[in-house]
Amino acid sequence: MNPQNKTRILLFNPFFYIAGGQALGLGLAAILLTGLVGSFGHTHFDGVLDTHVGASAPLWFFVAEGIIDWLCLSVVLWICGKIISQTAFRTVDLFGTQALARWPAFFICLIALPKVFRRFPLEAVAQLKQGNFQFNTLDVILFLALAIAMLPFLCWMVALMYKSFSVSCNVKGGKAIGTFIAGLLIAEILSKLAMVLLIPLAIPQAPIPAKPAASATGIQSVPGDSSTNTDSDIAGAATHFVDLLVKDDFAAAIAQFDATMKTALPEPKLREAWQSVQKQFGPFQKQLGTRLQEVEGYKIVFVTCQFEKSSLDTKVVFDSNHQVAGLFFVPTTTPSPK
Amino acid sequence: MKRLPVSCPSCGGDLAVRRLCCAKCQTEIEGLYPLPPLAGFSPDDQEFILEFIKASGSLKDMASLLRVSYPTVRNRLDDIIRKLRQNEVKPKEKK
Repeated sequence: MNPQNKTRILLFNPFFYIAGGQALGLGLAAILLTGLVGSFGHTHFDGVLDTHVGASAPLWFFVAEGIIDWLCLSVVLWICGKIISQTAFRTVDLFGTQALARWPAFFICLIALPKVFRRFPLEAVAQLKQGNFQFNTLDVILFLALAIAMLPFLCWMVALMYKSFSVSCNVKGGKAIGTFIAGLLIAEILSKLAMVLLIPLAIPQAPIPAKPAASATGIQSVPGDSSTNTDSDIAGAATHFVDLLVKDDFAAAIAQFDATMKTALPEPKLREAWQSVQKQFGPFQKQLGTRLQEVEGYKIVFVTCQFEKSSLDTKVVFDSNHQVAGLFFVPTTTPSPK
Repeated sequence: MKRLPVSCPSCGGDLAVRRLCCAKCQTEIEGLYPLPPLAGFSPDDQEFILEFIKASGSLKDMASLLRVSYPTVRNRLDDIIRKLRQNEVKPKEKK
């Protein structure tokens, strides 16, 4: 075999040489590495065929996405293989080669590393909502160039997935291609469903500072009051929540919402609301302090925020589970605490 | 090495052995002997079959011997089995 042919086989059908446990080991290593690089660029493989650049998440979430995609497709193709293949194929060959077939995803993560790839879609959505189209031409060109650069790798990955199925189950021709496409679509749906179950586990509950300094938050605590620590925690959670808004980390902010708020105020709406406030009152400058109220079991924290043009209270309502059950931006009605 | 013809170049039918010769004493025997089923395979396939037998039918050993993956070996064996079955069907169809 001439070297050119061998290179072609290694690129488009490495399973001619590698399968079974060896492919499984290499494939899992590739999935781990892809998850690691993906966590740097916030590249999500939130479905067998999906690649999105989105919110930050823990490293394990990026790895779990790759594993879910791999398992969903492998299980579906295993069933397809059992139905159409006339040979008794080994499960480890199919699962191993499917894992290895995902290695082009690593290059997709590398392409998505530049910050413009994360920044542009967020800005574009926000500007489109505001009807204010002021795109940076360089950003547009870079974004499109990177997106187009990803496509060959995605096609390569799908081609490898098919080869893995074909070689492992010894199926060829139109029947194999048709079954593979059907399997791919089913696996895509399954992986999406699995992601829905995974996301609530993945989005970290925002850590509530154990004992933020009362003086810093302006809480008037009563010595000996057993609720003081809890109040401090709640105030700390509220200031942390505002910090997340300031950092534009809306995914983490939403993680603190209760179920109703998650439905009522999803990430795009929260972003829109925060941007609308800054548009009206100028850029956020600093937090001035907090006030606490308790109404019918709900703890309400007013975080007084200084914007460029005026100060404003961010009213964060906590339920008994310390989850955000309400969010309002209201004029500052009392003098700013210390 | 010359390749043993197995099909008639004129009509495409299966060839049979008409004459055999002893390599030692040159005695010639004439008759009509069908070719063995394995003669219908390419030299590569015949070599594969021989190696497979020498490896006691172990696909794993064959994979390491040929430096290819297990499913590649198994798929090749499946192809050979399929060809054998097709060759078995042909004579029956003629009858």
